[in-house]
Amino acid sequence: MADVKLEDVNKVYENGFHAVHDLNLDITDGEFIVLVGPSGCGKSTALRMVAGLESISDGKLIIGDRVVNDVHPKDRDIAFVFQNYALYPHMTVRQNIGFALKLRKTPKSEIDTRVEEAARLLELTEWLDRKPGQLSGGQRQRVAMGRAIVRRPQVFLMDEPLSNLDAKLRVQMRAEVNRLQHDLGVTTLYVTHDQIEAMTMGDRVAVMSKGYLQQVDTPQHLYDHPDNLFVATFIGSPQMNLVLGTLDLGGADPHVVVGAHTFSLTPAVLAERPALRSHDGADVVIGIRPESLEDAALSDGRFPSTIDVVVELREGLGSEVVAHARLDAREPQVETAEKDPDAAFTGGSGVEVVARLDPRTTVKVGERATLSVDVERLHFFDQASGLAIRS
Amino acid sequence: MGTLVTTVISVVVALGVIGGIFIAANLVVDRGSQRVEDRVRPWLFAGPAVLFMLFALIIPAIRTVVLSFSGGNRGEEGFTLDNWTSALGNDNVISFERIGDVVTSRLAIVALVLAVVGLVVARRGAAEEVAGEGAKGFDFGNPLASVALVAAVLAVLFAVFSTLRGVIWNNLWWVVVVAGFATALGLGLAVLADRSKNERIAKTLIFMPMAISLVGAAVIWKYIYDTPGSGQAEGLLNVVWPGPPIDFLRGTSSASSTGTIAPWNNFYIMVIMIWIQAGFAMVVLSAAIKGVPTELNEAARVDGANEAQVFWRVVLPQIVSTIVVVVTTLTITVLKIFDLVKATTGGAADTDVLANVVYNELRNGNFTASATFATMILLLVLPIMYVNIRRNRQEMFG
Amino acid sequence: MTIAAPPPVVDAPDEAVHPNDEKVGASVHRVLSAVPTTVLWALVVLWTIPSFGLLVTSLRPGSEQFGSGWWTVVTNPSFTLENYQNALFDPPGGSVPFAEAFLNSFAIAIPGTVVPIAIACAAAYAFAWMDFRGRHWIFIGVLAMMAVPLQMSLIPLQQLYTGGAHLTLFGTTFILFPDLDLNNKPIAVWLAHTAFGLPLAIYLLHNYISSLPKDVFEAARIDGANHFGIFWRIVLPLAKPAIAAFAIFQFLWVWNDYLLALVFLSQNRDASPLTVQLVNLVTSRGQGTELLPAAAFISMIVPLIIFFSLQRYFVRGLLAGSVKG
Repeated sequence: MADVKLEDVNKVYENGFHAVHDLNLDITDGEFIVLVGPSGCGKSTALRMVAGLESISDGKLIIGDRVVNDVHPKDRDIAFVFQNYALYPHMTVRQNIGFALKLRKTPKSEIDTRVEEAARLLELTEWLDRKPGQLSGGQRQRVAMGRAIVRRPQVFLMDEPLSNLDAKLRVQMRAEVNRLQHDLGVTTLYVTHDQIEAMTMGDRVAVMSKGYLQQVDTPQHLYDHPDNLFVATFIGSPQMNLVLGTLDLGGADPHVVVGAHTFSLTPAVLAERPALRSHDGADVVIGIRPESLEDAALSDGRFPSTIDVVVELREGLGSEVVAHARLDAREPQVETAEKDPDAAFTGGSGVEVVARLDPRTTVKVGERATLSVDVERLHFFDQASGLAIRS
Repeated sequence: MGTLVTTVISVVVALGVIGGIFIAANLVVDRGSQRVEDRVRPWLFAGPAVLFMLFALIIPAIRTVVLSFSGGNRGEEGFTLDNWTSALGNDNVISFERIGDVVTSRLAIVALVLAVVGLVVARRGAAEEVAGEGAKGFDFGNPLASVALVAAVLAVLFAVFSTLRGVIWNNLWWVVVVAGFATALGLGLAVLADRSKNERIAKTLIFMPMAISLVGAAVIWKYIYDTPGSGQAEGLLNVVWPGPPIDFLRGTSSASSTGTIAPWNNFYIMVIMIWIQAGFAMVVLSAAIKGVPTELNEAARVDGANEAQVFWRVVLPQIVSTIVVVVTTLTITVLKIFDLVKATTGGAADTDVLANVVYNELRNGNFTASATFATMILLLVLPIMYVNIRRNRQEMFG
Repeated sequence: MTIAAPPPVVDAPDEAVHPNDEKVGASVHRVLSAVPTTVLWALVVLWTIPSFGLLVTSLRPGSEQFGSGWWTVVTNPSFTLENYQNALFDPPGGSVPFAEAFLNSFAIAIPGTVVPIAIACAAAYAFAWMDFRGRHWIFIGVLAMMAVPLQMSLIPLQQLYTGGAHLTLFGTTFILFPDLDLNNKPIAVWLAHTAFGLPLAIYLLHNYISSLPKDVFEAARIDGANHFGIFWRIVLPLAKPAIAAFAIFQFLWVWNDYLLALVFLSQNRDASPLTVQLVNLVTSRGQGTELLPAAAFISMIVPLIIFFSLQRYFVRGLLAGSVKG
């Protein structure tokens, strides 16, 4: 086992495209790190550089205590799981799993025991003599995993290994990959574009965008304390709502003005975010998670700040109601993660906000509703830089 | 038996030695640095092929062109244009002598009639489409118009090639007849097969001549074309032929006033090639027709098209590129036609073609003359080569 | 049908089609749909008659062949295998027995197929998956060479076989290719076939190999295979269908070739393949004419067996390749 260090790693392609900028990442021994980001953000390139499938233009890659920039993939002691599995179509499952060992001139008897052990672990024993073409998607995925674990490598590298599975199988395999990784204790770098996968699987999650690493943290911390607008909007579904507000902290009642509404900021809010003071009187971007909004009629006045909205769409999910509503406020002109595909309406005046409401709510499409706002859980961002305003 | 055994042994040994060197070289490169490896390894793989083609194709082609501009029988005398001037000045190679007869020939009149019919139909088609507003231009979407015009062009070409004599005209005639008829027949067969029962067996039988040699085909057709005489029975075609027997290959006939059907005997040799290549065209075009998505045909039918319209306006436009491939492939094959002519007439009786001249001059030791005629074939192939490369480049490199 | 709604005028013709008419329509349709099958099979018969006629003729005694057409066997059946026996082992006038020519053909066609495949596979892999300077232009050259007529190479190749190739620079002569005196030996023919077959082979195999999924090669690299290992253990097994298609194509081409054997074995009739011997028999005029049909069939039997048993691969090769020099 080993830890993996990326120090100021860059990738510039021959055509001049700068895919990865100064990537720094410290993966400790046995850790499961998920690299997440929208497609084209450089996450796969980063992974392929660790594998040695792409050359590193600049920077240092250290596995264990070796700098491996110029080491062949086969000599890096890593295993790679591909998105499309990349199974050898002309070999049986047994040969597929054992191929790497065979190339390393491992004695035949040992290959057999190790392949069978891996097959047992992955419940593939009865398929060992089939060819990949005869297997289902889930089984192929397991073979790909088997090919990785049989090597007993120092590092697992996985490139969206679950994205070709159907939704149900994907959930099942998430748990299984986690269990396997935990049992084997192998350092793992896992790439995905699916933030739910990232949140549920990773010990830590690294968010990338446009070739830059945005934030690395545990899933919960990432969700609660996003460093910038990109991370704030990328993590969480439905997406965080963003509105523009003006801070007024001068008087006896420090507050923020959002359209026709005023949210009073309690001392606790200000104490937690001392940097707000320096933005007094300025416009800031306010982020409101959908679950920080509640139907005022049901919240027993726990939250004094409210907003009046017009409901445009009501999606009953049984456990909750997701309401899309229009708030008369200014929309911030900032760059965020790609718009949530769930966001049904674009355009129109005001800002669309999405709220996750208690199923007992009586809000109706086309009618006005009053939603209460949990001010303690608001997020504040600088409009120009997109960075969180905290300390 | 001896040759076979020695050959097999020598091939095994040669492949073993070459393979051994190849593997050893790869192992050596494995030990080198990544940079050396990236530089050297591709040439280890591609090198043998590149060398082979360099020595057997590229350098020889250049040498042949140079030879065609050299004096003396073997090119020992230095630069000269004599080979080309004497070849192109020879009436047996290319002659314009009877060009006036083309215009007055019966075929030219047929062509004129067909062209007029085609244009009238196309004009009326255009008139219908813009009903009332006065016809502009021509509409060639109508099968009748296109077929009539294509037939007119063919008739003109036939008139030209059967009147003008010379090896080059002959070669061009071959191209037009074989590429044209084999493709048209192949297309017809493919369409028929698509709607028939036992399609596979029928296609196999029509495709079968592709597998045998041209020499073998020549022997097969000898028994169709033979005249009754010493040592041979009457060929099948002469049995059904109305009138006195004709030697279809050599063109001798007691029926014709001149005692010969030349140059039409060429046509009967071409028929053999059509017999072979129609199967090729059919197989390739049949695959293309089956590749047209059925929804497209169904959509056209729902839109109100009948069978003929579906084929003409939906299927045909989809397979045009395949038709082009078939025609170019056939053209290249036919431009080099040798075996058939050699095995039927040997080039006698007005049937000579370029490749046969290349061989005859080579055998007679006239290397420069041979090279000149070979270069002529190359010149005729060049435009097609260009088209092919462009098509492939687009497919491969975008 | 409800009577309440008056039938729209446009639909009138359709309304007129009553069950009875539909039956008539169906039978008309059935007759019409049989037309393509009938026409096709008529053409198939027309296409097959020449070959069938030769087969029948080859089985008739010489005297019968000269006297009457093959179709007379219907009224006057008379068959013999003597023609085949004589052609194979005892041809007249001291010409080479076709049994020997048969082996000669194999001695040319086997290496003429195996060697270009071996060379082309390696080259196709390099063109498809390796990056090197000039790759693009060399490949375009390969495309161009597919169409170059082989007549362009005849004289220079003959000279290369007997004289080798030298380059004299500044008074020093370099031997580029040694004088191996190859003319009139089978190797002269199959080496030429190897060279002429290479462009198409590389083209076909490149198209196939470059379409294999990239991640399989990457997986092999991570599993520890080097380029040669990938080539040997992954590319070759996966390219089997393309190799088979080309192999059949090339074997038939070499087996059926006449020109190269004629040129490069002109002084060695004993080593000549079937095609050359067959034409010799055609042009010999008189002697042994009755053996001609049998000899022709002997020359066709291997291609026909390959064609009927491996047609699928043959067609695949045809569809994938476009032109051949």
